[in-house]
Amino acid sequence: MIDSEEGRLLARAQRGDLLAFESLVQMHQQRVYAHCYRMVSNSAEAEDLCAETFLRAYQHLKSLRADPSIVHWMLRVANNLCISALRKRGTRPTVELDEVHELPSDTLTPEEELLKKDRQEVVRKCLDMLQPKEKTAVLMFYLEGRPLEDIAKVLECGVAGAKSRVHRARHRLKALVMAEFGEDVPLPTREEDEV
Amino acid sequence: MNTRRIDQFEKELHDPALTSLLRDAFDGDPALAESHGRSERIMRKVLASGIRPARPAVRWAPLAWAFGASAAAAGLVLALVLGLLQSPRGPGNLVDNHVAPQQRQEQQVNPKQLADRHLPVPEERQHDGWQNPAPEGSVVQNPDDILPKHPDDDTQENKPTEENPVRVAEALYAAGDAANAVGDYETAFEAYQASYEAMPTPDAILSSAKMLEHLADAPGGTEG
Repeated sequence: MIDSEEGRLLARAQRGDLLAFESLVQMHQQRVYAHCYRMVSNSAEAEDLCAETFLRAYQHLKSLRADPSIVHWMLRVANNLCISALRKRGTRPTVELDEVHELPSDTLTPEEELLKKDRQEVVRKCLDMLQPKEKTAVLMFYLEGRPLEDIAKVLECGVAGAKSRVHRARHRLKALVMAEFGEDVPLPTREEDEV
Repeated sequence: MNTRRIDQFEKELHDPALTSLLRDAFDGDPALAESHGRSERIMRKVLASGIRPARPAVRWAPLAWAFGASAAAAGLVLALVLGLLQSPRGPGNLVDNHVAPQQRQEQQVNPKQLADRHLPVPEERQHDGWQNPAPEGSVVQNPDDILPKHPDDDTQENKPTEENPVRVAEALYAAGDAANAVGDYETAFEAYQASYEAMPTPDAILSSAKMLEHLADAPGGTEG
């Protein structure tokens, strides 16, 4: 077991320390929830899926290893739960427009806000049209900035397989976005481009 | 896969425009804001579920191999032990002296064969076989016919002669064997005793003692 704060908390939790398990929950719940939300585009469902993920983590607590972190195991479980939920839903998930941009921006004009909202809606819609594992790959690589090794662990494939998925997802998503916007994709302004 | 190659993969996938687009798609989404109380809600669900941490999964393959090897070893040991017990030279044969008389009476027994099987034949008897050995399938001679008669009965043919004491002793011993084979321990005892008197041999005294044991073990055992 890696000698880290997480490793120590995990060891204590495995010995029955509930407070240690709660500390692990606090450590990882935001990331797990964010992943679930981006996958299913529904906050209530994302909360349930996030709780289910930690429930399973608690059930299999004694089998977990902080090597180097349990978050990859959790993301893998969360991702599989999200995929199952999407399949059960049958139809493509809809973006909850009411939840998008409830907070008004201080820097954008109303027209810019509207454009941004439209852009977000279209991109999310295109994301939802990807296969679940392609969506996972593109979100983790481009949005979260995760390395291919982490993506491989979550998708339970090799690094080459993860690269292939990211590559395919990227091309497909771009094609979908261009189909919506045409060749002139309204990219965000340069100040928001952190790359 | 080495780190350098992975880095190369990631460089090939690098796409700032797509990164920007995706980040923008979720920018300002309140659902992604830090939610206070989510950890408590999760813990409440975990505790309310009643689920307890399960034991780590057992690796069954080593256990299965160990069990199979143990069972095979135990089977081998059992087979060896049983084989030893059932062997003709094994202890099982010595125990089988109390065969029901009914089983033996139907057998066509050659007294000479009995003598050879139960006891090692003394050297004096090895070279001197029966003058008239019983043919195969013939009825066993009635041991009473060759037993020494009462001392008062001194017919010539029944007197052990000094010229052939060995032959007489052998005949009496064989009669004892024949009687023993059918479970007539009393007759067998008398025959072995007579054989001993004709010519003292360790076999005759041992067989007599054995017949006494049988008689003592028999229900309402006799004295003597």
